[in-house]
Amino acid sequence: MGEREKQTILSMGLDIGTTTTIVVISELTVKNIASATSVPRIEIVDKRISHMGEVHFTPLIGEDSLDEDALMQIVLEEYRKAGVKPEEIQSGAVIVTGHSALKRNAEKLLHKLATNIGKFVVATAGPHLEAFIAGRGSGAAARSLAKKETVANLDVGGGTTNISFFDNGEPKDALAINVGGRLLKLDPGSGKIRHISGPGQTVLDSLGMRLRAGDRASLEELTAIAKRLAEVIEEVMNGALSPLAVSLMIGEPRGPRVAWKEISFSGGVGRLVYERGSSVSFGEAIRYGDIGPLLAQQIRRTRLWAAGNVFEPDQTIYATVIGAGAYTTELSGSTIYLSDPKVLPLRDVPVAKPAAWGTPPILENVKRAVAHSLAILDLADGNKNQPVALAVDLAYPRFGEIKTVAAGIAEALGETWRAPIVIVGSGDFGKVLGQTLVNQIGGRAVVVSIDQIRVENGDYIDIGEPLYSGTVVPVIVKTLVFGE
Amino acid sequence: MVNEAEIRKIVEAVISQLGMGSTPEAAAKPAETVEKGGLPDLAAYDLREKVFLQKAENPEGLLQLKKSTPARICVGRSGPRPITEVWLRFRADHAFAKDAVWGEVNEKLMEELGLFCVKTVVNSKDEYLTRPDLGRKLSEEAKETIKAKCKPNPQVQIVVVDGLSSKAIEANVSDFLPALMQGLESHNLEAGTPFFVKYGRVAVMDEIGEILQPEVLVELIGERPGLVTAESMSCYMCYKPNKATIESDRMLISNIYKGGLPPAEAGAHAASLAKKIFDAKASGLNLQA
Repeated sequence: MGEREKQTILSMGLDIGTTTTIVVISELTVKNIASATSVPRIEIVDKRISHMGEVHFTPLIGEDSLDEDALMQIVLEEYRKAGVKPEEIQSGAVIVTGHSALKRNAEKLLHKLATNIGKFVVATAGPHLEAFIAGRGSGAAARSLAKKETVANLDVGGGTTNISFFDNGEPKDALAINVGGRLLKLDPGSGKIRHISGPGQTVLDSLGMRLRAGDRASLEELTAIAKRLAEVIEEVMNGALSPLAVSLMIGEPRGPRVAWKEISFSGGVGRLVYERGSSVSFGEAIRYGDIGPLLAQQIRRTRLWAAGNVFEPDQTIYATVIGAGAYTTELSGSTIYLSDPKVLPLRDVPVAKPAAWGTPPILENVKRAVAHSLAILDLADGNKNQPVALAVDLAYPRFGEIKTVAAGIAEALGETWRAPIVIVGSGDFGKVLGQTLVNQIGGRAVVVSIDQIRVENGDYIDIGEPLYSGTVVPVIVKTLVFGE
Repeated sequence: MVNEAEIRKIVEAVISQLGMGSTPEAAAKPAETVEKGGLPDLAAYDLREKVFLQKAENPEGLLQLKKSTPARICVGRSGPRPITEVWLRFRADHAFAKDAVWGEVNEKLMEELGLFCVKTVVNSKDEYLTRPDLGRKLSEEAKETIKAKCKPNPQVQIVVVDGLSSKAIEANVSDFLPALMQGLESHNLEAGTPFFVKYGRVAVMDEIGEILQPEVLVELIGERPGLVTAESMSCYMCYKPNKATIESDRMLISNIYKGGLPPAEAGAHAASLAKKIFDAKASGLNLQA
């Protein structure tokens, strides 16, 4: 029946940054690792990068709009080189990093693009998620797992610096700053300023510099700007924010909530950080038409660097795209329940996490907690026909508790609910809870009950088409908010 | 050559230097008084949540390692020997396992779950442990009772067997059975009359199969206890078990307990598997092929 065989998921990562665009194709090998006659245990047993795309400059029209046709060409050309067809792509993520105006314009485009570049490719965003993806892709997360310690990964790109913290392989905290190598765009030949981004202007103002587009900046001036940006990164890492750092932070201005032991740098500027060279000439400093090389040089002069706990990660400029392609997909537990597998794939399903209902659960409390969590998402009456994912936590699922929880959910959903219900269990009870819930609500709504996946309020999840004749589903959890 | 008296002298000198001489004072010192409420329960905590190593550089990291295995790692040592607490816990877990083997399933609990009780030809726990062959044969009385009380030719016959752990049956059956029943119902499968077999082995299902002729037989049985848990239960499943059934015809869901596959989830999974066996009219390797 093919259930013992390995299966491969082709996964693509597309990283569209302020400066560069990269495509990577990876092969995730999944296999049933349990013995022939026992409960299946299907896991991702291997991740292999099958095609590492070139680093392209992000095709832009003006400053803030993606050039749709050119981008499409880049992706399809990389597919051709990799020898894959768009319809073979089963999973993966598109990440638009960098400044917000670009993102706004990109989002519309990406939904259109997603239909042409492979099924189950998601357009996703959020600087904190980007930070985690980069931290996984760089290898910082794996290092923290191997060394059982907290590692910080600073992904310094063209428009933003996304910082992630991993403890024992688990994401713990994330920060994002509008600091990058391309806050100022220069003419690579003359050094003439071509464009100053919003955050770039903020930095110039705070330094009292009056440079404008069209001016020719000196090496000293550019170095001073780069130095100030490197200092801002240092201030954020130390939790001692200057007014400039406060205004450059994306999200709540604050320092890390965890203490770290080691630091790695990734991203385009991150790569340059490890290119140790002595002083740079003006020509070399502006060779990419921005201040990336100078920012890298200045980062090496901070105390962050001098403290001596910096390591070079496995991946730098490819970190985000590898993270997107190979580290966003996980598999559900191997005993799940799908009342109608045809409802899959489901994309961008918002997560409602009911408040703790106490142990053992009581019907009224479960009903109230579930109803409240739906109301927060404005889905209380179910008339929007919006699928929802309910996060369910049960320490030890006794059958009686499962029945109470299912009854509470059914009552909270009410008679009129028709949209698919996704149950996301943290433990191992997806199948029994799904079955019990269907008993309660009958055929009113499709029930997809998966487990061994952790989600939080504010997350969105994608659920792919089932593998191994309905035994497992690939899942992508998109954490947009962190630490709230 | 050193004579015996000299050796004795040397040994006495060494012992006194080490302060290990058995002085009357030390021997007379009373044992620590037991506090009110009795001795602490040696098995009260989860072993995976405790690191016994002294002066570990990264105790948090060790705890993470412990989460990946139930093996007794990070237990430290005192010279070449295990430390007292670790040794006592080992003994306690062993005792718990022995109790599970020697204990008897509370038949009242089985009756509460709607199961009547029958027995194999075995007459005592001793005989049960020394004669595995007898644990596969039903007593004449049992055969009569089963014929009288059970619905013949059911689609699915459920049997609970004590096997090697009474504790496994007592801990898991009450969550497993209702989940299995609910699952069978949703697959439109009809279950026969379930019952409990005392002093039984896995293959006792073959004789039951001969008597009741079910399409699918689901047997819950206590697993041989280990030092990790004494509460682990197995679920064996077989298509039309009979005297000619061989081991590769049986399917198994094992490791059913609180720390493994939760019994409620296992019950739901067993129902799907029963449906698969029922539809394919085959089980074990015949089904996998």
